[in-house]
Amino acid sequence: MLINYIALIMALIFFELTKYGVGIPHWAGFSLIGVFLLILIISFVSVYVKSGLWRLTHKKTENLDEREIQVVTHAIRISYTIFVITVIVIVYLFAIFGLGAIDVVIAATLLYLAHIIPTSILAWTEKEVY
Amino acid sequence: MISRKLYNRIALLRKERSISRKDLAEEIGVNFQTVGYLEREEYNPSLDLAFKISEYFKLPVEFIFSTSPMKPLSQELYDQTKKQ
Repeated sequence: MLINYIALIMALIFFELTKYGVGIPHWAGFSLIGVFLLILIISFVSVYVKSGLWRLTHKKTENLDEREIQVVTHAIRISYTIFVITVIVIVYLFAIFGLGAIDVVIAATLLYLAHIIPTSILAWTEKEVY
Repeated sequence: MISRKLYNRIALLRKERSISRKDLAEEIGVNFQTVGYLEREEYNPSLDLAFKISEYFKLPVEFIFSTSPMKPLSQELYDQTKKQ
């Protein structure tokens, strides 16, 4: 799970560095982004998909039992707070440092985070996953 | 709100009747992992689920669930024999 988050952050950092052309040639930047994206996909599949956690958080409520509804709701409640704080920090950072509009990669990262934060919370709190 | 811990005899009853967690889970309409959580007393069932379990085992709900730790069945049987 940690590898997944690190890969996501690293891909984002190298995207921004390559975009602004800070100390890294374009070919190296894109190669590193590709490597981190590959790590991201592999770790996503092995941590979230194979464990069944992704399915648990994305199932319809009527297909969950009462305990599952309780744990998923709890995870979503915590992740909502984390997500809102993350979005606010990013928006403020862009505004304070005059980085312009949030680009599509950051928007996609936020969308990905919105989906994996509840799943990550479940991975920490659930003793049994299937 | 922090609810009280509920003790239960689900594991004992299930083993006594040689039922798998999966079979019990299917009968009471929950995931088999939820049965595990119930047996380890890490999850308090709703009233509806508690009644479903008691109906499945054909035993009174107070015999399966309790707010105080469950006595061993042999002790309970002995106490009842003494009362009679």
